[in-house]
Amino acid sequence: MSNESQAASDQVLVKRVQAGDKRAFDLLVKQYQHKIIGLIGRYVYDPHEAMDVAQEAFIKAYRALPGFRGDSAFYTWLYRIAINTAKNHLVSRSRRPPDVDVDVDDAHYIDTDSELRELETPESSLYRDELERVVKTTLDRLPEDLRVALTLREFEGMSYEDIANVMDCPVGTVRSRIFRAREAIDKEIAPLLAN
Amino acid sequence: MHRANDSISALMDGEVGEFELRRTLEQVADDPELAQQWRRYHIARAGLRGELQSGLQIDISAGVMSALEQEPTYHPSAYDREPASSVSSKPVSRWWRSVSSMAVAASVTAAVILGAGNFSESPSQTPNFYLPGATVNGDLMRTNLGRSAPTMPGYDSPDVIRLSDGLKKYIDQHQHLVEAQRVPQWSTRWMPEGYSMVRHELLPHGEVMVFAKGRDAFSVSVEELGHQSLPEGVAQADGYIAVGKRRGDHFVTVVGNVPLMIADRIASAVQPER
Repeated sequence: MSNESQAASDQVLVKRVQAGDKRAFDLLVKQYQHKIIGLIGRYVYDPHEAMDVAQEAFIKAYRALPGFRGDSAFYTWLYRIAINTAKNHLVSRSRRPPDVDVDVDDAHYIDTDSELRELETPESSLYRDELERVVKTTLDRLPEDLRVALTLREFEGMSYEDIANVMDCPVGTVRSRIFRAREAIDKEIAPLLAN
Repeated sequence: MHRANDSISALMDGEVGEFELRRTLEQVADDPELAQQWRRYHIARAGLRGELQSGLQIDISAGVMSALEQEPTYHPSAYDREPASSVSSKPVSRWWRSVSSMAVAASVTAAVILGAGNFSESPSQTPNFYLPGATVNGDLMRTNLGRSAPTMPGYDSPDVIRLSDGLKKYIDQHQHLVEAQRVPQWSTRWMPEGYSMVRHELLPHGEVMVFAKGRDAFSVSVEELGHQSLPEGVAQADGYIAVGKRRGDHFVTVVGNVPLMIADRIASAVQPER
């Protein structure tokens, strides 16, 4: 995974929010909400409560965004806010935060929703596994040029320019191939998510 | 209806420019399906990487954005004017603060030198130090540019714009930068050991190079004669040395926290690329 390119993408949106464009924040919420809910789920075990705390964390992040200068990656900064919000929530409910803390620097990589998973139904667990299977199967079935372009992007974290060099094609072609690959996967998972 | 948009895909990868970003955000605002497409693309990314979370059907974004409707919209000038306290996770080291302030000082030095030439109508032997936008003078006026969105409390002062006389200089500057396709014309054939170039800016009527070594830095400005703000000679202020030298039909100014002899030698070593 390319954290640098992810951070660059985040930073573009963060700057737009700081410039007064709230719509960019909506995309950041949509992007990170599941990870944030999962992270908060390590502290707040009730899923509905965790969602409320996640919402509160995003609102706090928005309010604090003018002070974000990019000294750390946006997700690291956001995760810290989420953890603090979850801890404060527990204290306000006279509950004790867990002794083992989540390392903010590692939070992006760890399996953050183990506690929530315990609350999962077998159906929801199957649903997640099925979604992952569909995504990976669709990738495997893509035409080679699309599959290679998306693989280099998602697993090697290469820029479009670097992929263009590797695949010996124009950058615009890389962009198109990655988009078509994502579209093919999206076509398969959209009905699953809609249901 | 499923509407494809490759800008969403490129935005995920940080591969869009400012214009495309704005256009994409407008499209997303007009078309909720595009926002869902963005969400699904990220779910697919997580699926590819084996990072899928629970509760994928959950979407709290509408609730968050609804709550934020009551929040003020940030205004860029407010953001620039009054930074809030940082929530950064990493403490900034003393060394980095020092380097940062050095870099800022070097940039400001360069801006002051060339800025005085660029933004004052008539070059003067008396330095007229000001930075564009930082000082209100006869060329500036305050006005409200018709913002409809609410601004942050306390930041409701009108915008500052330049009147036409001052704007002309910026138009010249814009045309020069956009149309000229210039390449650096100047370099220095000698610099003190350990320094390396960290910036090389092309500006109307001149160039400025910034060199740094750890906490020390100096800048070299090369301007066409008549656009410099300092006479030939040496000046010292706030721990900085400034040396101005005429080089043919150009004027070289070296500013930095380096010894006078070094600054003088650097100024003498500046030469055209060809």
